[in-house]
Amino acid sequence: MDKKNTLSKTLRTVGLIFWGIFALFPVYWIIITAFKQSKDIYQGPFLLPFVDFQPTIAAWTKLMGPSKDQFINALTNSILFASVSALIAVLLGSFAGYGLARYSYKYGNMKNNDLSFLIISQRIMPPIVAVIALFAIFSFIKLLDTKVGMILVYTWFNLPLTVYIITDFISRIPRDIEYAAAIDGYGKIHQIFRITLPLAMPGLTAAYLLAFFFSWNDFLLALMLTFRKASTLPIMIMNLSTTDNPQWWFISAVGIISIIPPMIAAIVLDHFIDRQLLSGGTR
Amino acid sequence: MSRIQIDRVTKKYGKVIAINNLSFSCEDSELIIVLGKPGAGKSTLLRMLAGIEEPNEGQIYFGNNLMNGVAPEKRNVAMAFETYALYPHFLVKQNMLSPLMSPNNTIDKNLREKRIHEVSQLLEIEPLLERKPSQLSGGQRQRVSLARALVKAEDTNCVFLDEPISHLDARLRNSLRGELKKYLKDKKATVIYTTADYAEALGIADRILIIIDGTVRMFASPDKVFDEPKDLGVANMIGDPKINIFEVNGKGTIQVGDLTPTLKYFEKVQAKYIGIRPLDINIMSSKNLDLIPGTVYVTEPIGYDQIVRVMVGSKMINIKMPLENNTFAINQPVWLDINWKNGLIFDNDGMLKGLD
Repeated sequence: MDKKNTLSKTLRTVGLIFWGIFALFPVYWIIITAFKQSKDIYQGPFLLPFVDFQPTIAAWTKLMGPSKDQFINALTNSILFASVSALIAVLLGSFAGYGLARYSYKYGNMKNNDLSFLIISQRIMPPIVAVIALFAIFSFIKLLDTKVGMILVYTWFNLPLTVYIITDFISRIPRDIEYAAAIDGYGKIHQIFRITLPLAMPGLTAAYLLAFFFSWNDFLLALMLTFRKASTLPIMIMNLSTTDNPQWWFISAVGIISIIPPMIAAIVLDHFIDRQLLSGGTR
Repeated sequence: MSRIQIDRVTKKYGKVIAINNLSFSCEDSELIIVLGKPGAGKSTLLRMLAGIEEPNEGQIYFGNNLMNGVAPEKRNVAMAFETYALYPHFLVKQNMLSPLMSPNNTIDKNLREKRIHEVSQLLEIEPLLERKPSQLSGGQRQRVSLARALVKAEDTNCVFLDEPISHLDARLRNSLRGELKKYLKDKKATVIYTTADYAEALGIADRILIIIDGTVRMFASPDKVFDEPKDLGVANMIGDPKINIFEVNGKGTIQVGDLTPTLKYFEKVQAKYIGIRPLDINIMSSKNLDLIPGTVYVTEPIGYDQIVRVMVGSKMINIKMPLENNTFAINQPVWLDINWKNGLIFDNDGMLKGLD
């Protein structure tokens, strides 16, 4: 028994170490690349700073020097689009989610499940199909390369996902808990703010994070609908690699920066994702 | 506190009829127990009274006010849910404070503390006040749910308790039964309380409302329900172990397993079934040709009493008797002395008949 436990524990540890290296090595690679010079990259592969190669901060001085305006613009755009569009998508998604979870609808033959499917089905279509039409529409209503336009398009794209997640989450909150609040004398608005909203917080947070990550990582929509003013980090990175000689050290430096905001968002918001929140309420 | 009246109420879920044309009324400060098996429609009835479900047909009145379509928060009622429905993100104390701090019913702070102290002492949950519901056992959660309903008991129109002590351990359930009755009576609360436990119903009700298949089968005081169950369905629900029902074939011939004793006593009575309570049968261990022979199936000694189940042919007969007399072994042949004169007589439709 003991032997078997030790064996499985060892196997598990080895597996986890292997997976950890697999997952983290690319991160390590871009970190050291951001401190390399061109010769270290093309004559490499060099893995160990100070041993294999002499680190330099050339990429960073360029980022904070000549490229500063372009970089700051892309970074603030990325943060603005991701955080605001995710917020709107979660807000609208909660209205739709609460409605779909708590009321019965019937439009023609369509009931709640059909409506949910209709909403999520917008994500079945590959975005590339929509993007030409979006370009035409945006050009017509003068939203191309604008912040409002990008927030709008990411909200549109994230909404099906947030509706889906939030509907599912709210239907897991036992209705009797809301009824109990009604019996206690609290009206609908109080019921929602005292009971439903706090209990739905993990679902809202998860939906927000997923929407945030999607917008943050999006390349296609930003590529087609922005030129300069509303450009985002992924577009900036691409532009850097399409020059004659891709400046890998510079690309890596921007890449490192672009990992940080979603990481902060995940760490801060994880606090709200309490998976045990609903336990204890009912039998 | 007010009179509650339910007038020909029907509730359907799709094609399933949960409550069928049900009427009854409950007087001010009366404690009514709704007794029924699981699925009989007890919870549905309470939920309609509380305003969580709307009846498909019929009216509900509190005093003279029609309550149909009035939201739960406007009905001024208290309720303990069968599912507990505690607020999992609040502490136990905050759960109990919730009904006392609602926009419609805010109570002075000192009075709130007093109520909480009183109810938590009654239900033995004082040490749990600063815990979250997830840190409680099932029985403790049920007591918190009951506590949340009781703190408001004296200022509400009606207190609805949906199987409020069903998941407590037997000791606490039995001791709490009386305490709960005393508390509700002291507060002069109007209470409608559901249970599947006949002893709970007999012990604390002013009147018992027996529901079978969504309709009222009997509505009477506990002693009446016990002494004169209106029909076979009611008789089968009251008493533990269950009453023994024998079929009567023709004039005075009773079917007891394979045996058909004829009793002069019943010749004059138009009876289809006879119900004999487990206490009205005595067991003899020596052969007696006048009595009914059987074999002991199993015995359960419980303190001063014992429950003995005896097979006569293929019919199992439940008997309850004091333990002091004698004990029996499984498969022991015995002879049953049935006190037919105490039997309840039911006619062809299963309705109770008087002997006269």
